[in-house]
Amino acid sequence: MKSGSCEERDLLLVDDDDADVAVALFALERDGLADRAAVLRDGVEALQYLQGATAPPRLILLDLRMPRLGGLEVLARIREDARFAHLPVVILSASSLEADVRESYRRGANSFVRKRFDPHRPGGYVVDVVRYWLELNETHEPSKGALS
Amino acid sequence: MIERIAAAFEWRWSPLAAALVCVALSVWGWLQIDHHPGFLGIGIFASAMIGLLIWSARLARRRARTLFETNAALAQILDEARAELSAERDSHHSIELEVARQTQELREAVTELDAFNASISHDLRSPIGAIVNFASLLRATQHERLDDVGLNFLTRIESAAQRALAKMEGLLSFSRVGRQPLNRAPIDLSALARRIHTDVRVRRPGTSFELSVQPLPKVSADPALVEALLRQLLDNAAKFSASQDKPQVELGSEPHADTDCVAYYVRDNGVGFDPAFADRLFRLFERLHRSEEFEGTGVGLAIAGRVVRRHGGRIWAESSPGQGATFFFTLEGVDDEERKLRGERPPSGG
Repeated sequence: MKSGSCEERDLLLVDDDDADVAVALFALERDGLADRAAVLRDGVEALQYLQGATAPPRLILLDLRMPRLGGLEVLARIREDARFAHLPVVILSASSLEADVRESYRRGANSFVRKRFDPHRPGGYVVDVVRYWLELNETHEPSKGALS
Repeated sequence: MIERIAAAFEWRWSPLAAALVCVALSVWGWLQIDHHPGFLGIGIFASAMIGLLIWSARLARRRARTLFETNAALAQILDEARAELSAERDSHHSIELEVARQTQELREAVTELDAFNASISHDLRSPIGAIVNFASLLRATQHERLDDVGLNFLTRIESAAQRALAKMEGLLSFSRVGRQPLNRAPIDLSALARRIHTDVRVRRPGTSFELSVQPLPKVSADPALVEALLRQLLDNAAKFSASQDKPQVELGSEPHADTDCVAYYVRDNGVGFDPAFADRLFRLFERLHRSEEFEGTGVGLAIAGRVVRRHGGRIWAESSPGQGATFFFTLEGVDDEERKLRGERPPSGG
């Protein structure tokens, strides 16, 4: 886990790919959002972080293919837990397989975003996703249940 | 076989026994004539009757034997014919089995190849994407530290990585077209083409073209795949006619001489191509123009070809340089499908 100060890490980025994480953090940094992000390198780390967190995050960005515990399993565990069931979870994946998209939504993902490599705006799609969900989340405060 | 039947019908005489009995009875009657004059008549009558009886019995037996032999011969002919037929059926069956086995093997190989394509493209997409990203970040953050030579190298890295990424995406789309299950539904090609035309104009304002669409019969095909097909053909037509003063694209249909199908076509007034290379158009990564002239990955028409072939149709193109190009394809019509369901043959000369 890295980046951000303790109480403000309300954005979870769960991804094992160094390059993707570096680009996402670079883009978030440019937008002044990097301090709010906690980076976790696989599903086990993500679940441990959630269990130990004093306050639930406001958005979870989840990769699908990761060592130890993949994104779909993490998503299922999150939805099973009453404390986190309402959290917005966005899948960020390199996959474009129809089965991955369908299964993600079936397990309760709020959105499925395919990783993009845009030379004009590297990592820009991560910022777009984060802005959209954080603003939506703020609009719906305090009734978080509206998103579940 | 014929000889055997003839032999069964052959006439055989053995009247000796009957003649001897008749002569004996007649002699006996003649010897008795002194004591009993009527015995001669009885002897002659009795011998005639016995002769007749024996002859009838022989005739009946012979007829029975003839019938039996004919029957046996016919049964043998029938058995032999049946054996021949069964052997033929067995060989047909084994050919059918072999064809089915090879088809299955081929289908599995194609599926494996598609899975391999998808997996390689997925696996390579991320690292190539990382090169695109970091080259871009290098330019954004460090360009002041690089001299002209360094910037030139960076440009080459960016361009190569972007080309590789585009090819990966193309390969993924190509394998998706092969793996996606086929769900047929009636499709109005004219309406679909107009919708895609609007899309293309919105997405690429620089490459506007005039589209004329004939009223077309509905086709029975997979909507998502046919949309990909028309999109590729219209994109292709737009790209290669963009340099014209008035780029024009036409979607229409005409009867196809070789089959009973209708051939649909997308015709443009663009730069065209050398017809000598027409058969290479629909191969993956084949390009007939240099990438400096026209951008592209060489995947679009391969996808178009694959969509048509998956529907059991044909695709081909006609052109000459500077004369525009026409891309033809055949797809089963809704009418054809209904006719097939009713078990009717397609109309001739249609």
